[in-house]
Amino acid sequence: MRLRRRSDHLATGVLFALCALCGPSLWAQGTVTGTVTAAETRLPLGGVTVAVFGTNITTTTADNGTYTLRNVPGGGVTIEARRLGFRAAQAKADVGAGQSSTVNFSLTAAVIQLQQVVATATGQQRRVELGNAISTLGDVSQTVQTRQPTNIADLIVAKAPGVSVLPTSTLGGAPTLRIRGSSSISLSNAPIYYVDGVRYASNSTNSGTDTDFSLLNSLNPEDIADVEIVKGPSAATLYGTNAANGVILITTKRGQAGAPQWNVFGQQGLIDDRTPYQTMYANWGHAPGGGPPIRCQLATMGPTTCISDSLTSYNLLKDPVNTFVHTGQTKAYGMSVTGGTNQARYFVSADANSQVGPIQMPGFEVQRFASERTAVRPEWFHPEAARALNLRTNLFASVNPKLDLSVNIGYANTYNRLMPESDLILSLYYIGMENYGFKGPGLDKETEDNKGTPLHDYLQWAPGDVMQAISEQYVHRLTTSANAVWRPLSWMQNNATIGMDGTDLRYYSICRVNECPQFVDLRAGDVTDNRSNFRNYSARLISASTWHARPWITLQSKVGADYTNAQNDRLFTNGHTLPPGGERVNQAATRDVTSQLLPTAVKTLGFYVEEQAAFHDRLFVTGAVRTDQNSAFGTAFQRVFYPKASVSWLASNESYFPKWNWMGEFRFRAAYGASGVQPGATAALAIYNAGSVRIANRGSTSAQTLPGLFASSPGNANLKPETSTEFEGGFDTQLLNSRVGLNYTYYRKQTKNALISVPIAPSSGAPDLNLLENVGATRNSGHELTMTAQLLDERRVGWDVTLNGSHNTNVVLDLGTDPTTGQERIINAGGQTRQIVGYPMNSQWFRGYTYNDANGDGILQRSEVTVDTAFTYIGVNVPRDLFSVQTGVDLFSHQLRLTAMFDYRGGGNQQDGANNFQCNSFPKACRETQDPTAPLDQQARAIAKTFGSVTNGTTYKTGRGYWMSDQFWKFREFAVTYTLPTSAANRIRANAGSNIALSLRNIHTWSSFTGIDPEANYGLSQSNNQNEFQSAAAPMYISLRVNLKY
Amino acid sequence: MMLNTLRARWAVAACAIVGGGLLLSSCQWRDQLLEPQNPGLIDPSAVQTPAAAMAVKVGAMGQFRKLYAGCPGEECLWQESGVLADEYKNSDFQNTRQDIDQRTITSNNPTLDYFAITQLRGYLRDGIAVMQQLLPDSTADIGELYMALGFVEMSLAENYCNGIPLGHTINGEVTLGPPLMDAQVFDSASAHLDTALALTTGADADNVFIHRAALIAKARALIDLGQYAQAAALVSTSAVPSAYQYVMATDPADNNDDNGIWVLNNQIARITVSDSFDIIGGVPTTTTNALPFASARDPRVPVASGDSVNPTVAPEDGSTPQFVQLLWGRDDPIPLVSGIDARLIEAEAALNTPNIGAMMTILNGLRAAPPAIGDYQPAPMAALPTPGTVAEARTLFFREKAFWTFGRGQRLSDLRRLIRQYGLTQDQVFPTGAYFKGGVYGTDVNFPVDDSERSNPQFQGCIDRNA
Repeated sequence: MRLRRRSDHLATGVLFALCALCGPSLWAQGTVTGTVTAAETRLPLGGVTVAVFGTNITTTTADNGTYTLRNVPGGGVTIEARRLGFRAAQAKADVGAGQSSTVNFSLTAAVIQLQQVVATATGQQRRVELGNAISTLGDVSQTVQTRQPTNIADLIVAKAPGVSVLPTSTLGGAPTLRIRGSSSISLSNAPIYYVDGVRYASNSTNSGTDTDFSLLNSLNPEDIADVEIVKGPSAATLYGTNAANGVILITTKRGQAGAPQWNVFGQQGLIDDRTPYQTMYANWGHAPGGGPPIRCQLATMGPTTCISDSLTSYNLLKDPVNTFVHTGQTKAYGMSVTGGTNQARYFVSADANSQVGPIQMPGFEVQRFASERTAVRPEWFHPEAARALNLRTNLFASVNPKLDLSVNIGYANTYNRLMPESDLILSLYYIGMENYGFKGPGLDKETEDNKGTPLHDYLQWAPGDVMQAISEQYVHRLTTSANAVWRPLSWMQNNATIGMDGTDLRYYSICRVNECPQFVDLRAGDVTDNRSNFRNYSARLISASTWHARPWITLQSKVGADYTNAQNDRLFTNGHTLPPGGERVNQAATRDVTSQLLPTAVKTLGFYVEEQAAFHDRLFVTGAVRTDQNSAFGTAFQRVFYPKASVSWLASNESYFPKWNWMGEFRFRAAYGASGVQPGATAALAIYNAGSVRIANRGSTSAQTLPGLFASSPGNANLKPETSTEFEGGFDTQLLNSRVGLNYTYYRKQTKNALISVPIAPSSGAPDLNLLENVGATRNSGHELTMTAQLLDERRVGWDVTLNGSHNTNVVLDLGTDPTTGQERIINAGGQTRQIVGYPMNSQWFRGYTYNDANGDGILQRSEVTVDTAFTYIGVNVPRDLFSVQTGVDLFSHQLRLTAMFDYRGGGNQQDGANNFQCNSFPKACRETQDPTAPLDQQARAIAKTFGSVTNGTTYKTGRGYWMSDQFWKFREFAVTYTLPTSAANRIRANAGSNIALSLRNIHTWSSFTGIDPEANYGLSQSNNQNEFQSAAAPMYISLRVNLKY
Repeated sequence: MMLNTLRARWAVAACAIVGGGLLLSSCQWRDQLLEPQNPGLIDPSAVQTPAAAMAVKVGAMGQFRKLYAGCPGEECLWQESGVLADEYKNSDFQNTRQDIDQRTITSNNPTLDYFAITQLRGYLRDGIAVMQQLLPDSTADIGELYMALGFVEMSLAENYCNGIPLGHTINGEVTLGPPLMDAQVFDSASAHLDTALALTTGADADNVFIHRAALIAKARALIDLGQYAQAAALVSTSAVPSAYQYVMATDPADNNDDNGIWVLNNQIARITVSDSFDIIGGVPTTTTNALPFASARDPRVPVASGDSVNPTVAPEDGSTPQFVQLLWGRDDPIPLVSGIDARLIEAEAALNTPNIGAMMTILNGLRAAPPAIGDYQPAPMAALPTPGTVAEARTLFFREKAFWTFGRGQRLSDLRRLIRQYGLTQDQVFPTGAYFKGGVYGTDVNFPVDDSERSNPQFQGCIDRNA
């Protein structure tokens, strides 16, 4: 074995030695220097990529616009300058051996950046060379400074066509992000993330409540320089297994050459919960024979059951005396410094932020605790909070003209505290929303909880007691990467990246002794302390060679290898019955260590080759293939191949292309590619679970604890990745003297070998009633359109508009054949969410219902509603249509900028979970069960859900009425940014570019949705179903930020 | 220059090819990179020894406890059947759980634990297969597994509608069966119980103990089939002493392994011990046919108000008066079958002779010297007067049985038998009339087979919902 390993090392050494031998310079070399400025302002432009065309020789301009290109081949060369937001420019230079030439550029602004460099799996490329669409978020630093997003979801939402973001309703909660809809029926549809080339864990993690935490929340927007969204298999082929749902590439900020430049910011804001919480009602009545007041239900009231006397209403969460909804606060401070030379550059940053949510203990509870001589802990008073400390260092060194090294280190220390929210009892929203419809005692109201504490109109539990249930998450995260770029030849570049993303996560929840509601035996003290470690190791090697075979053709060859190892281990512990002062599991009288959480590792090793031919620098043809092996594949399946091909044609540069004044560049593009989604780490394995079992001794009631084994999963040795192939095509063009840019893309993604959780009938006695099999196929297609317009661009004023729109649809093509019947399989036949060939994924089926107010009294009774016996298809449960409008207005010579963003979502159905629950559970005090003026359709849905109707002796009920269109318009963002005049900035010793920004987020929603909010999301955030249930809308953020440059 | 370029290019290409080939061919290195790291996983290769076989048997018997404990959502068959009958009422806020209490159960009711109980059959069959292969001489243990398998199938037939399929899975191969009438499922249960009896003929204590459990279960299956005399013949006092108990236990050291009845009634308070009346519209209203378990103060079913225990127990819905049973604490053992059951089988056989005197002798014998129920010892009770008619005797017998077997999954079956075997109608035996949470009781007398069974193409729903 040792011999074998030695041969491996030897081979590797030979490989590099051979390459090094190839390295001697074949040409005499010189230097090119120059300055890049903006054509309109004539100000120097920093951050411009300057490259020797057709080679890998590249550099970036310093803040003063200067650059130096070394090691440039002698003779005539073409120098190219590119920067986001500007049209690329090229210039010829004659480079003499050992001499320096000067080439200056003046770049003009453009709305489409076909020459923009974007990151790809095989390195950086110009967008024009790619046959697929890639969305970028533009100048992220500028967005963060002005719009002040608090997390990655805020940063991305509504910014890119085809990208659906469901923000979290609570601080620290997990957002749900989907790219081009869903393709996978049983596996995750979430994209994967890379930060500086390192696979970044984005798991949602259990919070102990029904809102998950997310590891994405330790991704700091302040650190981000660029976000690219690689949308589907056609673009993500070379990211391999697990990239079929898209890839989000994040590049952190880099150092810029020049004198040290300090950026300092301070931000303060408010968090305002503007959720339209429902008003509850009480229909006061009496029994026919008199007696105490009783609550009448519209569906059953009448002269022989309940005679209505009066109606009251009450909205507890809008009652300033009783509510726990107040105003939260947010603040952030940070600084960064960047500088260095072209040979050595650095970026160092540190920032801290904290948020206190709008949930606050009501005053009467504070007084109660004071009277009980109990100090109110800060975490009780504000049960929803988050804070973070982020440190980052990015270093770059050009060791010699052939070798660049860079190191990126990011550290995040985050803390999240979630309010008690659960579908069980310990939920603030439950006890607040689900109230009785009147203030004060009476009717069916319990005025005290089960230990005699006044409820103050809340249901069941005192809010202060609920707030004593603490749920916290602590994250320490270190993400590092090191990158080496070695250019042994002017036409060859080798790139190596290694990195690690390590997360130490702790979840802690506690009810100390004699704290929390008297629910079960919580007040005996209960503590949970769960520890998880996520470790992602990444390594990537790429070698790229460029060959100008002829003046009209350039060939680029790339070979690469890619390895990821995603590890996770967990230890979950719980302790019960705590002593006074006890806060740790080891202090509890009884302790559990959950035993079924075994460490897992998912490893992928991939190799790929890519060949690109560029004809006249306007027609680009690319072909590639990647092959993967993965530790989660079944033992009978070894390797998967993912092919790719694309073409990009800058047709407007052809001599025969019509020249119209109103049209600038015009490009056609088309791409085809495949990618996959892997099964879970142990899905292929046959597994027995182990656990201790208490077995009674024969002939006695005493017992002993014995080790037990029971089959858990039969496994599937043939399991392979779900493979998606995608075709996309479209065009990009510039119109009206480059003032308007238009991008259109059509995509059609077909997933085969889809991993389906095939349900097995329970009567089989199988240990796992859902067996993962590669039996399905789906098709997912859609359109994406982006229009960017610079409507006005004068010296004093400007006005720009960006429209993003997309439509997505999917259909189930195959689910395999039922082996018993030989017929097409239907999954979850008889259920609400079904998989049926010919219908969309997760199609929704309900029994319909009809109603008829026969006596015309405006009140529906049970007998006036009839529920169908058969199910009918009503639509899908995910949005299909996304649209957003972003606009910006520049005033006062561009010193004041106003930006606004509106976004639309629709095309799907969503449950009004709040009314669905409140109208059907005690005290059934929602409007449609109590208020005689409630619309008939709403009365009918409550009856259909609660009582249903009887047909042939069988009761049929339906929740159909609570499923409705999910469409809404949201005023998502508004920001005002004032750039300080140089004189004003100088007065505080700041430099030009310093500014003050006011930002508002989640400002208003327009929707016919009858629930709390069409974006409210409760439950497991990465599931495919949004669940609006006893939750809140995302709050409005109002914040003011000062950005100073020194 | 072109030549030089070409040479260099070929050199690089050679590098790439040689390097790539080496990388791809160095399998050992590649395998190390891809080796799964899932330490602790137990795969089938570990189940090849007698010790492993015993662990699988123990695991199966651990799953068997899902009759009453450890079910998803905490509702197990014994609790749910008690709610559908008159042992418990719903004290929860979820409509679907209320539907069971109100006897208006749809086949997609998520509370139903159909899949949990049907999966028990698979675990038990796995245990039997492994034990027969690796420990074939452990007849008591194998017999115990057969007894449990028969008991599970009997429970399915006692509680679910006509139309229960009985499939099986062997080495991952699934075989599904057609829907069966309950009587056919009882037959299947009887066959397994016969196997258990045949395996446990040894004279050692283990075999004798399991044999008695199988006798009681078999007799109960025969009662379900209306074969009273045959049933009684199996469980005579000499065959099954009155003090006999086969109990199931949970772990005091594990907060997640608790007596399921205590969890649902005394901890989560999702169900409350039922009574013969409710407060509806502020007025006490009799619930037709319901026994007064909560207010009877019967020593066999000790009950307390949730307000009076320490710590107090509040209903999950915040409004229903909460009554908690005191038979079983958090980890108290609960009898699966017992000598009490044997005597009651004998008494029912006497009722059907009819020999009311013999029946009363048995019933009063139990009252005079109550056997323990798990660890709970009821106090002796006064003898009951002999009823004058068979109908009165029937009423008395089923009331006595209801209190002796409270919470142990027998009441729903008995109410169904009163319809099926004694000729009463559903509104003469089940809670009927106004329902305390609004509306009226429905007409369900059993659980529908869950819609999840529709994955079985041979199943198209219950054959009927008859008793």
